[in-house]
Amino acid sequence: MTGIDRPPHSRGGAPMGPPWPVDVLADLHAGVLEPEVAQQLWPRVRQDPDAVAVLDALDATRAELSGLAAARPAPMPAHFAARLDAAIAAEAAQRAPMRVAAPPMPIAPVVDLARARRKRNQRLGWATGILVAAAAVAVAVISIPRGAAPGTPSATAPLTLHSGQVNGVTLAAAIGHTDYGPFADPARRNACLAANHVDPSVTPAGVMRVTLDGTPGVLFVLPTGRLAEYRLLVVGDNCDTGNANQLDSVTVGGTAATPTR
Amino acid sequence: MTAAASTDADLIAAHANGDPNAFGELVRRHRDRMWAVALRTLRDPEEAADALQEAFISAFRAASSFRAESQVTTWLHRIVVNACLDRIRRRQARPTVPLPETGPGEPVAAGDDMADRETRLVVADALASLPEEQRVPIVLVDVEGYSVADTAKLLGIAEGTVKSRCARGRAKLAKVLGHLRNPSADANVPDGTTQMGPDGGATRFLEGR
Repeated sequence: MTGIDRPPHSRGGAPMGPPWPVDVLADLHAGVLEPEVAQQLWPRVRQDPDAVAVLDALDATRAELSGLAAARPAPMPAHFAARLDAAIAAEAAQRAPMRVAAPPMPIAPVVDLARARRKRNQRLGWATGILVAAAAVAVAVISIPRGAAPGTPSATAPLTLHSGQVNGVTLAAAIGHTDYGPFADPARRNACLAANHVDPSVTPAGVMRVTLDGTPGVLFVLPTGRLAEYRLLVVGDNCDTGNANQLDSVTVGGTAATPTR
Repeated sequence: MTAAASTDADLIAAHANGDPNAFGELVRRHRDRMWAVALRTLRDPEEAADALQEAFISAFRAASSFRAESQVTTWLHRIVVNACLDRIRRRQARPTVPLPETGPGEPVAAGDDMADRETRLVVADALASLPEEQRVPIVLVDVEGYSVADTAKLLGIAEGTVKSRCARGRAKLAKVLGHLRNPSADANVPDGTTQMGPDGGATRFLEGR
């Protein structure tokens, strides 16, 4: 706007006649102006077709904006959704021990190993239940041979993986499984984990036989100690003392996946 | 307890009572809607995903404090918005990190009427092109339906500032969306790329809560 066509102004600085600057009309429309100024402007503005057209344009804009929230949302991308499910599952697994230990104990209990195992399996089962949807996503991304039942913590056919597929989706598919394959013997398992610099006292959140690019092995889902973060360690069947036989190692959850080799 | 017929409030109650599956069901019900809110507010998908994860974990832990008199969706929505605004505040606290000026537009669900989809894509792109200080108040007031008073509280700024930033942002959007056709009127609309705040520029976008 130039000085030539500048409209007459009120004492408060708002123009009192056409042509009305869009920013003044937008302020008036949004309720920014002082009430007494707005009260003076509204009758004048409504008499000017150009100003009314601008107000209509602002109304149309607001209507289109509100339409964004009313529209059916696009789905969250699968890899983000799997990461979210894994984080919620980890949170649920952390909470589970408190729930199981809830009954009051008058004296310090002697730990019954069988009972402790039942507790652990229950925890893993809960985490698995929460991850059913994520495992369904995994089916779409990872080839699971016929007969494999994602979400079931028992021995099944190996999960078929290819390079780059050891990620949050794999975590969602493997968490809660206890299929140790050639590492069912604790001594052998501990020897393999130690060879990969893993503290054998860390209880995996899931173990599953896999084939990675055609090589048979076992995937260990290892808590890192950080919230919702896991190390996915894949080792070959020959892993043992002095032979790490590491096929892949990736940290997932919390933040984006990062190789930890 | 996690049957599809359960209400959101039932799921929250079940979760508070130790049902290990109830919260996961709640997440699955609301994930996509909340994802849209986070993406609209933050623009960056990685940041939106992180904010959503933080929000749902917060909700998981705070579920026992949920009061039945409010809607679960309203409660969740507020937690997600706060998680997003926290991220914006943290971003502002790192001045050496440039704010993204453009980002991916909001995704639009397949299956809707093609013309509607196109319109929403255009609107979402236009919204994403606004400077953050105008985009976020408009997202809260015009898209998400928060009152000016609630928006002012969420952002920690005066109600008048919320109105003023919305006014500037709407004027730009009206221009970008083609609703403003009068060239003389058009000339009075600040350019969409300007970073100047409606208050004169250098004021902070968000204050502490």
